[in-house]
Parts: sequence; C-alpha cells; structure tokens
Amino acid sequence: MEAVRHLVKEMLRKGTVQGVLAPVKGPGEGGLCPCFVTTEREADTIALDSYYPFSLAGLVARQVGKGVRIGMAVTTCDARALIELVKREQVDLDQVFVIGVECEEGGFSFPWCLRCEHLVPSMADVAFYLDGSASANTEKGKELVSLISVPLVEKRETPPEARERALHRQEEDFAELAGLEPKDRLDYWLGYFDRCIKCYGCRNSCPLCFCKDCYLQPHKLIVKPGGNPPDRLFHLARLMHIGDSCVNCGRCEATCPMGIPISRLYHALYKELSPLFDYESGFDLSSLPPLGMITEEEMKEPGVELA
Amino acid sequence: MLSFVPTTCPYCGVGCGILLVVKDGQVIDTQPWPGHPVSEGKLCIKGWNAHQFVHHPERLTRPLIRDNGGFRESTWEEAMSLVARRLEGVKEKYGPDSIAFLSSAKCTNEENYLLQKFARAVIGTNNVDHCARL
Amino acid sequence: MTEEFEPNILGFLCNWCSYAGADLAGVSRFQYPANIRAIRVMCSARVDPALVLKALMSGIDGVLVSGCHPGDCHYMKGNYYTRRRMAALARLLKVVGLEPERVRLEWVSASEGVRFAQVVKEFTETVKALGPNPLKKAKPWKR
Repeated sequence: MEAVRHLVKEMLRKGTVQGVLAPVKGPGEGGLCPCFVTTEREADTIALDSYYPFSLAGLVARQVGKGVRIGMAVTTCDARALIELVKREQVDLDQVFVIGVECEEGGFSFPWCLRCEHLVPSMADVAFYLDGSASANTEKGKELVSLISVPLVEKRETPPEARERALHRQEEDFAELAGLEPKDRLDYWLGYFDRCIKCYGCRNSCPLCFCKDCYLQPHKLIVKPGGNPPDRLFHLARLMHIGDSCVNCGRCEATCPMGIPISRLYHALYKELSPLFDYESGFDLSSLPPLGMITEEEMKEPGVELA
Repeated sequence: MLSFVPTTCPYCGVGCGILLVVKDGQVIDTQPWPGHPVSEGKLCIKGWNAHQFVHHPERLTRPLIRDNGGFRESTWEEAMSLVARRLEGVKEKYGPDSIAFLSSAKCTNEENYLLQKFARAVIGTNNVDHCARL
Repeated sequence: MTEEFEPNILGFLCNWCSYAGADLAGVSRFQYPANIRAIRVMCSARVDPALVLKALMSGIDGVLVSGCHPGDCHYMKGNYYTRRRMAALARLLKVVGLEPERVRLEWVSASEGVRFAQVVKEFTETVKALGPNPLKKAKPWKR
C-alpha cells in the first residue's frame, strides 16, 4: 500500500498525469470514497485494502472522458472492466496509467469476491503484489516503475491453485440454483426481481453499462414504462446486453437497496457463455466482445447451432 | 478537475449520503456515499438523479411575479413585500383559517420549524401540512 | 370440457429469405398451423435477444427467429451474429429457468415454402407439448 501511495505521489510530482483516480478513506467513519488525487495529502489516504463499491473504470468512461492523462489505482476486477471499456471504445488506454493491486483470496468476504478467480491484475501497467513486489507489465508500466524503487519481479498470473479453489467456490455458490428444477429456479429469480424498486442503481454502478441512451429507459418502451416493481424484462434485458462480458465486480449487488443477488445471475450467465465463445473478459485487448463479432471459422459453419 | 463532494440528498426525509461528481465547476453526476450510516452506499432513483436540477436550464434563479398572464423577473424585496401585503389582506378579509401552509422534506428541520411558527404565531392558523402527505 | 391448449407463437422473419419463403408457402397453399404471427424484420440480426425475452415476458408461448442460410444473408454477415445471439439467449433461458425450447432459430430461404410450413408445424407441436408459458400465470406483485 505504501508503495502504491509513493508511486502516485511521484507520478503527480513528475506531471506524468493530471491526477490519479483511487479509492481513499472517506469522510466520517469509514467506507472508501472515490477521489481524483492531485495532492500528496490526498495520496496519503489512498486505501486499496477493502472492497470499494464504486467502479473507477466506469467513472473514467462516463465522467472523465478522453483527452486527459490520468492514472488509476484499482483492484483486478476494476482493471478488467477498464479493458472491456477500451474494447468498446469508451476509454483511450494511451491516456490512462493503470496501477493494479493483487487481491487477497476471498479476502473481502463478499459473495462475488469469494467467487472470483482472477486475483492478479496482469493487464495493468504496473501490478503490485501482496508480497510487496511489483512488476511492469507494459511499456507505460516501465516508465512508471522507474519513478520508484521497489523489488521488481516478472509479470505474474493468478496462481492455478487459487484459481482452482475459486472455481470450487463458484460451483458451491451456483450449486443451489443449478440443482433446482427450472420452474423453481424461475420462481427464485422472479421472486427477487419483484423486490426491485427501479432505482437504476445496478445500471448506474455497472462499469460496462455506458450507453447514454439506455435501453431500459421508460421512453424506449421496451421495458414496460410506469411500473414499480418494473417489468421483469428490466434485469433480463440488461443481462442479455452485459452477460457476455460480466467481470463479476459485484457493484450491482453492492448498490442494490433491495438486496437482489444480481451478480450471481450475471456471473452465472458469463460462466456459461465464456466457454461457448471461448472468451475471457477483461484481459486480452484483441479479443472483442463475443456478441458483437464473428470469426472466419464460424462463417463456414452452415447449421443453426454454434459449432 | 474532478472532485467528489459528500453531501446529503435533498429529496426526502431519510437523508441518504451522496457524492456529487463535480467536473470543472459543474455538477455532472451523483454517486452513492459508501459507508454512510443511513444509506450504506445505496440510493433510490431520486438520489441517483439529485444532481440534475443544479445546472438545469429551466431552473428558477430569481423570484417571478405573475403579471398579465405571464411572469416577470423581480427582486427578493419586491416579492417578499408583495407576499406579506397580500397575506395580510387575505387574513383581514377572510380570517386566518383561510390560509394554509405546505412545507417540504427538501427543507431543513429549522426551516420547517420556522414555517409552522409563522403559520401558528403570526398568521394564527393550524393549517400546516407537508408534501409527504400528498 | 377442457379446451386444448393453443399456443401463441411469434415469428421474426427476415425480409429477404424467410418472409419470402412464408409468402411462397401461402401462395402455394401449403397448410401450416395458424398459431404463428409473423413480424417482418429486414435481417434476422435485427432481432435483439431482449426483444425475444420481451415476447416471453408478455406471455407468448414460443418465438421463432428465422433468417437466410449462412452465406446467403442479404447483408453478408447478419445471420452469423443472429446465431451467436440465439446461442447466448438459449443459455440465458437455461440459467433463469425458462425452457430454451420455446425459442427456435431456423434458416429458411425464399424458395423453401414447403420447409417453412414444415418448420412451423413442428415448432407448434413442440410448444404445444411444453404447455403454456409459466409467466402467463405468474402474477406481478400486487399492492
């Protein structure tokens, strides 16, 4: 943590960026708040050791926009979300310096954190690991690590044993639902959707939901307007649009005032679609979101089923 | 350039914590205030859109007085004197109970106290109500 | 006496192939069940899976999405996207607990009048066997 703060201070001092978006200790009793760090004093309050229920990647795409050089100090899920936004041309990656921090396995004990199989931000420019070392994963990253002295190591991936354990926890989490009869599963989800108060919190806090003219708005007449709880299509339409790239950051569920287990549904669909399209969201910039692209091999396939 | 200003949502009596996203002096968005003891990082739809009225082009910025079927801009002094004069007139002609006062959850507790004190002590009526009852 | 269940089926037919195929079936007097209502779209890729979901949420018993054969799309690549989306939609239906058999993707070309009638007949049988859409009975929360 100290190393991250030190790096941010050096970046500000050198003028590499206009500021660094990071979670800081909030006013009052706690909870982390977002901050656009531009001073050393603010940099000293950066705290990446808890889950932060807002998405800095979403803020970059929607609020910061392009044309400004900024840095971000984020956890792995947020960094993955940023890569997904870059693929959707909402963020210019050349303008963003990403500092990623390794997460402790299941450390934050939120259901989505327990399910998470990606602990190491291998797509960040600079990745800080739990043992105090760091690695420069890109050219921009090399520029950054030259500003501080920290034990440097090779780029790491999430250790396979940790991944295995996470997959096991995922199975346990989804087992309850997978074991139900379809009719009971439907009742389970519809029961939860009926709690919805249509606050749009899930859509607002999701980093991947960037559409300015969102489909779920009442004047679009897709989700039946004027209803509360809304037409169940609200959640399912969003699921269809986001499900192929959900990064399981859990902000949707964290911000839902009614406690609907949204990320469980979205992550479950993502786990189904990921092997189907051979797609892992948030890592490789060259693999585009599956529902918006097709491959050469597919074009030779004549049937109705995806090969 | 970008700052997050913690404040309280103005819309209802719950008082959820919100962070106003301010970019280059303009309030452009609202984020929930994580860890706030009342709202715990969650907001209702009014809270999520609490920033929209601040720079809205249709926002009232000066008192308006009805004139010939339309409105004309005025000053606080003129508007206040007009209201005081007309309320006094109504009270004299029709009695104090012909006037009713409607307050709002968007006002502070202190403002609501003042309003009901004004209604009861100055005008002399008990006709005080609140937007949440409507 | 109970009435036999007659399903409501919605068909999204692509203008250039499937709708023409359906038209040919009609002109040639090939019989197919009248449970289907056709909606003409310019390309099967226009069919957003959220629209198919909307149909199911509204109580429609089955949705048929029909387009040109791969390689014959009037817009070159539209039907490939459709295939991906319908595959994703089938998984979504499974995860949520709706029957994936209620949504079918078919390729019907403009000359395949017989095939169109066949497809509709088979699909209507399938949906009839599945029974009415469970969402028709599921009442929204009443104040």
